[in-house]
Amino acid sequence: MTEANRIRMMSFSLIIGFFLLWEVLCIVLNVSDLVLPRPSEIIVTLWTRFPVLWPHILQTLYSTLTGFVLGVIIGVSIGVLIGTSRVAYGVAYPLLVGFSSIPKVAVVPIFVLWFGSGTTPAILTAMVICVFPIVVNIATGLATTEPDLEDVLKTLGASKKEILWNVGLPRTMPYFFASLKVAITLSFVGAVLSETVASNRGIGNVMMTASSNFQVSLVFAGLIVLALMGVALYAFFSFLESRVTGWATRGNDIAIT
Amino acid sequence: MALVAGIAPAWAQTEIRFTLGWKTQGSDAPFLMALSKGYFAEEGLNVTIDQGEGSAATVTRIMGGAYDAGFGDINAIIQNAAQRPGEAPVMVYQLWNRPPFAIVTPKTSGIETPADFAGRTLGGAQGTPTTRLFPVFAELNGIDLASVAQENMAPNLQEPMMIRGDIDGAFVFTITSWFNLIANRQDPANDYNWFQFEDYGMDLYSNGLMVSRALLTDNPEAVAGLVRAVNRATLEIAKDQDAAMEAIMAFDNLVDPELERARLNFALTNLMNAPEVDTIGMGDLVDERLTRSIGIVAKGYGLERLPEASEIFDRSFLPPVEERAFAVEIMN
Amino acid sequence: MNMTSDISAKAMPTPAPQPAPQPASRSNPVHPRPAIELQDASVVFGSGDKAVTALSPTTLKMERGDFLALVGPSGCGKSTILRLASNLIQPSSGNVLLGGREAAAKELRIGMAFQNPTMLPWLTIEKNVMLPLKIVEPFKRTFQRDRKGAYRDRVHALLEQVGLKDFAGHFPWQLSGGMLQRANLCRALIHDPDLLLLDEPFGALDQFTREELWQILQDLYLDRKPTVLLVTHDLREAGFLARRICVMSARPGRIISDKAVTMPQPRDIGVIYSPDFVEMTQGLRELIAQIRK
Repeated sequence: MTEANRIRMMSFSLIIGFFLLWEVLCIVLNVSDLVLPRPSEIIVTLWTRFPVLWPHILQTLYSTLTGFVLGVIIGVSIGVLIGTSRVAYGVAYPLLVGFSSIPKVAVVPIFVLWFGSGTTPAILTAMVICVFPIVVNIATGLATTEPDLEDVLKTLGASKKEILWNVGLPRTMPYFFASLKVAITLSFVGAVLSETVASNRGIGNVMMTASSNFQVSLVFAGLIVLALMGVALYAFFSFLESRVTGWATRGNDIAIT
Repeated sequence: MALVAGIAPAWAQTEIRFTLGWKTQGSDAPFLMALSKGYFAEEGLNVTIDQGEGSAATVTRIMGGAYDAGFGDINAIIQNAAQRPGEAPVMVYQLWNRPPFAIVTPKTSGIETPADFAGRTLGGAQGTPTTRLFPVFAELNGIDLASVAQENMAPNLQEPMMIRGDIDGAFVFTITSWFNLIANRQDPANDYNWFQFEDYGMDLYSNGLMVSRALLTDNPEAVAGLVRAVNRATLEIAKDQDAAMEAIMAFDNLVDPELERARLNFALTNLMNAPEVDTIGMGDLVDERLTRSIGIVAKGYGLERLPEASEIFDRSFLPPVEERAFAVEIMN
Repeated sequence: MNMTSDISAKAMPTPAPQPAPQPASRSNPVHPRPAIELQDASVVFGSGDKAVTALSPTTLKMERGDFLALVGPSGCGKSTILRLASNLIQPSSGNVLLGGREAAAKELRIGMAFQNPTMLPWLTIEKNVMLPLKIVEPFKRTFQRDRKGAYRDRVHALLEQVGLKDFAGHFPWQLSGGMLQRANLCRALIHDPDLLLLDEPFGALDQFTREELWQILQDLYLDRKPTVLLVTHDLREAGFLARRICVMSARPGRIISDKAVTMPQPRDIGVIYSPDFVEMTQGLRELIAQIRK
């Protein structure tokens, strides 16, 4: 078996082992299912209530992805602006840092007050929470573009825009895609956060409802669903990153002499 | 009075944003049935219903402008009307004639009378009416407030902490706590003592249908339509809980139908039904009693001014009393 | 290309350089205005006490089609002259004229190759070499139309000349240093520049690769006859490729010697071992050694 497969098997075993240990401990220590349900119970709940959960999963995905896309658009725009202009950088950066430091938990009730409960605050929270990492990565990527690369075009008389388009932006793609992984995870957190505060649908809402009715097994089922969704989203963007920006990590391979 | 014939076309319908008082509960049936059975639509109203954050939060949500109407606590209206006259929403159809405010204690803590609260620890969620009105309760029943330790906690944690013995009792809503105890495998009828505020000198009114000032002024026909639709649904669920549950599940398929049905029955029997309602009909209230409540709330919340009853409740949209005859028949 | 190597540099008269054939579309005049001219141009970095003179006021003239090598100790300002010529920096005093005009003029086409080939890592070799055609007029105008056709052929022809025909579709990380530098030369020449500026382009390569690339560069030069300014520390490289060698003093640099190289072109690589060649380079070496004291 190859090294990679061996590692995958070990990882898989670790996860199974974790759940087995959980199950055994609950039985042995006689833990009440109101405090910590057993994995077997959770799986049963997940299985039987899946048709009910499915529309909520879709809702959370929708809010996450919409907020994410909006966040990317805004993040890239601001990132390009402050990455290419020293003035804009100095002027905007403190404000950006200020905004990003605000815990988003505090922001959700304000959105709800303005827009009512439901999808809108979820999308807004998802958007707001993921903008900053994208801005930072794009700005950094642009600001640290090797002058040599830019000189290649400068000597040809290229305009600033041409240099940005042909050198700056492609050069920044690895940074951008790295930030996408982070941003999608944050968007996800933001959407769920908003749902737990004020929403009729979504996994966050499911967990709150289950929690207030003491359906603890359903709460945990919701947690498992959230974990799986988070992993799936991260993995997707990781894959995308390796496809699009493979050139950035390939330099270590053996070259033809 | 005959209902408006037919259903108004979509473009003629008024948009109404409506907030419930909490996550979907059986007691929300009047609104959810009016929605699913089209009673709102027949009145020319396109109503969207959102789950809520609390019966007091309903008032703030409406005042914030995001919502036009909602199901919430009249005492929160009183509080806000005192502080912001002319801005607070107005109750137009009273549903819960009797308050759900109560202090619950396990029998094992040995608290039998209010005097026994002295020196004990009670837990409550910040800002809920039960917690905030406790000083009034204490005064009316001769308890030294300073001798009672109060702990702050999220509403969800009250029952578990009480069961564990971390607190000796909790400030709760009967309709919520009763069922939370059952979910925690307790026997609320036999193992717990309930000190309901109405039995101890505080006969406050509670939840009902409220609307924003803006809606009241700009579109009184819409308010009348809301009231008519809700009235119709309320009288119906008193007799037909099956239909009520259908409406609930159609709105939110996550809830436990058995639990919410029990909760609906609880609300019908213990909160909505009262001798007073037999006289004045569902939806109305007695001004003198409301004025007394205003006094109690003003004391408990430390309000600087006493709003008039007319600022809080407007009965001009109520159908005639014959059409508001409330008769509860719990199905088996 | 294969002249015998025992032709004495002193005996033969210098063959007159032929003016390069001018493509019809070009707007530059054919008559001999200096291709590059520095008029007392100097470059000072920083100011006040921290001022560093990278280049003392220098005067230098290059004719069209000339091949000039600049040699000198490190830090003498040879790269600075190159940067002035390429318009990457402005002179602190004096003028820099290209094609008789202020250096800001864009109509003079410049090709530049640095020691570091700096291929854009996300593009194939073919796309890298084609890059100037995307930026420079008149090629820019028809780029979308021609990039899959005429321009592609142009790139492949040039790559073939340097022996990289089969690597057009490869990425920079897949090629060795020498191959990348060959591609770099192609990129510097793809847009038919009037002026080719080379800043120690072969400095990072081993001797064999260097000799190979000298010959390639000589071929490309004789084929297209751009004006070439080559900055190098390798005296043999200067002697083999250039028609004129300027020696610069240590910082703050100025030109202290400007001599023609009289060997006829094309030169065979073996010429670097001929006594005349060796004598010439030794003379240069002594001159530089004196400067460095």
